[in-house]
Amino acid sequence: MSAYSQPIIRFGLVTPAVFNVLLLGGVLAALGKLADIRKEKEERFEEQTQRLAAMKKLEADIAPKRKTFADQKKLLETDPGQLFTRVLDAVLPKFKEIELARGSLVFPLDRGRVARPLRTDAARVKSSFSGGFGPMQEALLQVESLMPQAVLEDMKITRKAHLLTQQEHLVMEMTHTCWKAGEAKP
Amino acid sequence: MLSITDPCELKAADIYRQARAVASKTSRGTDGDWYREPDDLAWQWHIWFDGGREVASAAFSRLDNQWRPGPALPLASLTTAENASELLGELISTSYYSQKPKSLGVILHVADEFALAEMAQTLEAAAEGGEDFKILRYNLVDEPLEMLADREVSTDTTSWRLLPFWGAGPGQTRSVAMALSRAREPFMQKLMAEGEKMRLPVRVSVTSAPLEALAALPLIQPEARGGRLVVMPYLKYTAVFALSPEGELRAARSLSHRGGSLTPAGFGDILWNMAVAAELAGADHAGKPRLLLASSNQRAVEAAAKDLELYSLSRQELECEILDLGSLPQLAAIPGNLMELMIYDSAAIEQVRAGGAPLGGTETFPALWQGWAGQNFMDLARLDTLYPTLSDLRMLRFSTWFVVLLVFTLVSTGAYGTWSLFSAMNHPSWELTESQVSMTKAKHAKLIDEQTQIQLTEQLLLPRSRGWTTLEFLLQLFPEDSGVRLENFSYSLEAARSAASSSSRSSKGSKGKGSKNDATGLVRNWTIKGLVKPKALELLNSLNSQRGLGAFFEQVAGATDDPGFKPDPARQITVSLTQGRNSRYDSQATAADAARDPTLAFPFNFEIQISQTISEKDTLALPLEKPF
Repeated sequence: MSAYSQPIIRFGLVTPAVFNVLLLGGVLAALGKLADIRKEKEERFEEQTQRLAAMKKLEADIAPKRKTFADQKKLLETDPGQLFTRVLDAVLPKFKEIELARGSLVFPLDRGRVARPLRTDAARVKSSFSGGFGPMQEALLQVESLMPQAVLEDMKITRKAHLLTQQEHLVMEMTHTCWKAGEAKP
Repeated sequence: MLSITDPCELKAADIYRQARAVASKTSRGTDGDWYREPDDLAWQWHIWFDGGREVASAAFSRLDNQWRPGPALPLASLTTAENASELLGELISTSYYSQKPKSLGVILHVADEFALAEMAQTLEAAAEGGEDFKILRYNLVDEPLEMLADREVSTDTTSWRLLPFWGAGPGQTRSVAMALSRAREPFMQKLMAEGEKMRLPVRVSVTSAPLEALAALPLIQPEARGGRLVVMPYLKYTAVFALSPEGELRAARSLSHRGGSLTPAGFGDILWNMAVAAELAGADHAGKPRLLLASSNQRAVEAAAKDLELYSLSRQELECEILDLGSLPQLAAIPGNLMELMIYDSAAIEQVRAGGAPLGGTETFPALWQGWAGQNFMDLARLDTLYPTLSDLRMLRFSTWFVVLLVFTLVSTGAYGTWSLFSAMNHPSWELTESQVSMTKAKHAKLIDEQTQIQLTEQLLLPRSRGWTTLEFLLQLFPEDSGVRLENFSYSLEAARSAASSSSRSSKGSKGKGSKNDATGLVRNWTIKGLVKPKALELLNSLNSQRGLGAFFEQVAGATDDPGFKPDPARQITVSLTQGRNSRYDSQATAADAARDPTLAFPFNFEIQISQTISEKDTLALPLEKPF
């Protein structure tokens, strides 16, 4: 090994290598950081693109239903007891008393067998009528058409004879569970 | 002009800088001839000088083993080192060689002086084998004052090289130091410097002509044997070498010529005594000593022969053989018939070796041919240490490529980084901000929420149990005049899941709001009691089967458009029919009796229970979550 060997190794190989490794390390670290940032941004962009596409699809699905939903929401926000009463009040006068007469109309406070497991708010309407089969069906058709939130929970039909005339008529008792928007379930 | 400083005097950074300067300004890094011995180079210039007025010059090409007369070298040029560049320019033309030289080995054969000096006794005694001679040789070059017996000498003006006596017997001197003045070195250095300027490797050597002449003896006289004195008269001295009977070198002497004489004073006596001392003469030996006279200086040979002839006649008888160099075919091609130059013709040496010359089988002559005869009195190795070695320069060149590679890597990586940054910045994702993403996420969540609300509301409001369809169910079941009198009817709807299980389940999966699993199935029950005439029994019996009941449900679904009656594999419908005799039946009852009490006209009673189970996967299942 001559007097030149060590300086050549030191200044010709080691120093440039160390210098380069440091610079290269810096550049690679910066590149790594850039790649991370880029990956993160591109993933976010991809996610954003997919989300926008999904939103577009959702919007296309929702838009035509929005009007109906608004109506349904409004309907559910209306007190079902009052609505039920109002509809009956509007329907029953069409029939003679012998054809259909309202017996009772109560609003039980318990949730009933249908609404019990649900979180949706509900109100129950228990009603009884006496009269014929046809008028009852027509009245119910009127009520239930105007109140899609009403679900028939139970119905009992029995025959009864008039005390004075001994003429038979039907006694119909029914309970409706009506969904409503309202306070959260405790 | 490249100025070279001894690297020992420089700092590491300056040494590196100097190495780079050498690499860039000279051809040392690419031409290995800069590091070869002059006699190894293909193109050689041999200068022979014996102190006369003329300087012999010969050009030798090893490529074709051709000798040619070299350029004329004035004595003044050799002394003052003038015109070195012109001489070099002349030499590198094709005038002296078959092709233009790419390097030049310059060998100065010094024949004007041949001084021998004693070695220090202790070191002398230590030298016993070939390896020891090599150690002594290098030590004498590096530390001459430590090796010589006489330490009052100047290393600035003189250089020494070892001459081993391979044939020395016990108690005899085993080696001496040959001394040459360094007066010719400036000329050689000038040639080297000019060569450097011309980027032409010029390697120089200063050799002792008498020793080369001794080495050439078997080449010009292959049949020569030992047991004699080889006498070589030159212009200013006579060199005498004693060869043992085996042909090994046993002793050497340099006899100076005084007063312009071509022979030394007392020449015959000196030779006689030397022969006796070397055990080549005397009673115990062959008697008269044998001498071989050979020299490139013919006049000196003739003078010596005459002197010895007189001595032989008057004092002791000597057997003297004279070698006429001019007549030897081996030297015919060499300019001036200089026998010293013979040893540079490797082909001639190989020929003698192969020919089995007696002296070729000794230890002395092969050793002389292998470098001892051509020892360079100029310390070229010391000069070479000023320069980087070939491996240093190769390493430097490698380092240059290495640095280029590193820079390329760095630049490439940087360029890739710039491109990556540019590419990333041009991608739309670069402009997308966190707030935009958050805003979109919020909008999306809102839309999902809205969709869930709509789906839940739609699902909640599906017609799954209605009063009017239930009555229609009865009407469809028992039409007018069907022979059935309905006594009692009850219908119930209840959720299949209890409140407790649904709350625990929904709390576990509260995030799955509106999903199909978060729903409860339903159970619908119809119970009908009544009386029946025989004609209606078939109707009842048709209901008492899955097929009949399914057809009936299908019929009701068609009439009411109520999806709750539509048969579905996921919906289970069961029926239970009980029939019995009507205890009030009176077969004798009149129409008036029947009008008063209709039960009298019906012979049978029945009770039918129909149950429909709607699973939680059914579209009519009730969602557990509230829509909003």
